[in-house]
Amino acid sequence: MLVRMILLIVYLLIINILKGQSLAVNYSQSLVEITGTHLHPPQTAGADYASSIPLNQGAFVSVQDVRSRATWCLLAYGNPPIQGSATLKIIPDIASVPPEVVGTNTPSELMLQVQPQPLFSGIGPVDQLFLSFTLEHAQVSQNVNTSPVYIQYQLQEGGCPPGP
Amino acid sequence: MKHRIICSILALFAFLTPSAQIIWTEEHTHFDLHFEPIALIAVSQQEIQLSPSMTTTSGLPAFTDSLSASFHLRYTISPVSPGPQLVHSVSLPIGLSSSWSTIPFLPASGTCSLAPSATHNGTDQLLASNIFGHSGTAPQDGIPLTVRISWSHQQYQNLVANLHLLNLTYQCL
Repeated sequence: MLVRMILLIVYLLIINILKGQSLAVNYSQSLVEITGTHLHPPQTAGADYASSIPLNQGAFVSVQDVRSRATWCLLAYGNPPIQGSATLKIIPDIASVPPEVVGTNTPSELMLQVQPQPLFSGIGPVDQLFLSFTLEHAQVSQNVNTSPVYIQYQLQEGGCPPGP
Repeated sequence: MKHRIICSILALFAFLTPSAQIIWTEEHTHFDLHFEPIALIAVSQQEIQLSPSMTTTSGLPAFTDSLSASFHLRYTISPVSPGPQLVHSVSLPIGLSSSWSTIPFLPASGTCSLAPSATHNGTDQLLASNIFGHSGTAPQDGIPLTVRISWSHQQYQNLVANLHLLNLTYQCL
């Protein structure tokens, strides 16, 4: 009896360790252009960039190989930050996935910071969660040429904590 | 002994089983933001009304008249290509030749700045000025630009009206 129990526990332990949750994030664009059309209306000479610029960029997130009722939290952070005072806002489109996979405490948006912040709370496997992006507080005098945007996504077990 | 083994395994299991703090996996991504060079230059349109006929002591129109007008120039420029050029041109009424110059302006900052006075002695079209300076991108609220135009007595007499519109355009290349 004891041996069986030990074997069962070891089996569960190994299964649990070997189970590899997968996370994939695919962007629609590898390069996003910011042009004079993104200046603050009426886009005349002397104008700076609009305070919030919706980017022609989207991403699809896929979380697989998790148990059907497992709760998890997707977090995101950016390191290093974008040049100047510009920041990136990420908006999860909750309507892009079935309602039963949306957990509690899913935030409506995330301002990218160097520390991980909750982006989406999920239940079980999720496919094609859509993310949209806006560029905030870009300035003509600070944001020039090509600037890489690095975003790290973390998948944690357990739902997201309540927001502030 | 049995109890101790079970407790040890359970403890190990609890340790290795993911909790709310455990990171399952992490994905590193990146894309590029490309900020296109912006060169917007606006010159307020201004009508220059010629003064009433300027006469000399002989009662004839002066051989050379001079007009000056200040234009409010506002621009936003982000770095363009190396060695940017600011080109301006003026269109004068048909049949009128001109000689004119711009007073140089040197903005405190900006990608394009106008080099020393440009003078043109051609017909009715103008002119390119050298540019120097590549000192920043701060938007300028206004840069006074003075255009002086002079013409001959004959040209003066050819003016068919007292109101003429000088169209000036600016382009940062």
